[in-house]
Amino acid sequence: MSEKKETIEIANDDKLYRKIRAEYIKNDEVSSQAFYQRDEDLSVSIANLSNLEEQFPNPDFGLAEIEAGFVRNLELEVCHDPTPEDPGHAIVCGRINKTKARKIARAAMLIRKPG
Amino acid sequence: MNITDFIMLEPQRKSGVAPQLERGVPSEEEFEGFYWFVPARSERGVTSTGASYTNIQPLIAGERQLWVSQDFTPAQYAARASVHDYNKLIIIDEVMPEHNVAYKYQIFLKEAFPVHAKGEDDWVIATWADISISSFLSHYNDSVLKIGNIRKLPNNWDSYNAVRISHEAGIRAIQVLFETFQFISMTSQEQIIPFVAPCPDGGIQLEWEKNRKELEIMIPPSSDLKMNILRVLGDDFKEDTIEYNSDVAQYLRWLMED
Repeated sequence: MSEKKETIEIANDDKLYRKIRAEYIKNDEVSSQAFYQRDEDLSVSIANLSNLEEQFPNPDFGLAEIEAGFVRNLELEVCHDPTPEDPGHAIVCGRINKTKARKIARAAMLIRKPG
Repeated sequence: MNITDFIMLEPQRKSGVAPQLERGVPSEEEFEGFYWFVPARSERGVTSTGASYTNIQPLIAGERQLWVSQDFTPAQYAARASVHDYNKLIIIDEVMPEHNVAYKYQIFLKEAFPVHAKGEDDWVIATWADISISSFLSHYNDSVLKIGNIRKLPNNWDSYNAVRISHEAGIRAIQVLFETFQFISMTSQEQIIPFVAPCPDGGIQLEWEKNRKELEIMIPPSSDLKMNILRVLGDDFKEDTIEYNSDVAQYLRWLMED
């Protein structure tokens, strides 16, 4: 019998983290490609369920933060999808086209730069 | 500058006999892997808005000599000595006594790269060199380097299962950069250097900003696929797809317009 995951409702003002490689960063802004997935859901992590040092220890990656409500306003869904490695893991579902990826990148805040 | 306007240099001996210059268009096979030599007059200036520019005017070939204006200056060109080697050459001019507008060219090997030798006393000098390559690299060297670097990223480089950047995307991105360089050169405006980003699907994205405008060109991992375009002006977003590298010009025109 498969184990049912315990999930939470993500509020609109919940913050979501996305890992960002240095190659995506230009002048403290993030390329839209950091938030673009052609045919797949976008993986993020719910900030208040994440421990930065434990879940994101790799200094090669920076961290961008975006509000769940902003993503939902783009007609995308945000669902909690915990994994053993990341209890705060969530996915952004729906077709993220270039326009939506660019809007998300514009709104995202870089809270940690790659080391 | 019309890149199809070629001057072909024939291989010469070390004795330094001036090369015979002929006009011609190479075949597909000859063109593959070579740069093309187009001797040109460079004209540099400053626009009314203070931007510096370089216009490169191709010279006109007549018979086996080149007829140029008297203010032609020698220059340094990037060139290929053979399929295998790369050398920089200095091209100088000698004035012919009979015709004050005709010049012969003598070519000297200036850098200590090994050359591909055809025989004991023979050496292959630049058969073809593209003058615009040097100018292109002087503006876009960092972009070309970044393309090379992101091509080295391993699978899962973004920790979200991204794939390696494809060779085809790398080549096409450089071709688009070159189209951009040529297009902007003809407008006499300053080059706008794009940001280069890796794409999780193995493609490459080029991103430009000018005033309130943003332009993104997403080059797919396979050359069979079309490129995706995004134009942004303030809060107005428009998406398109294009098939050919030359189609990029219309979007660059939009970006450069005031």
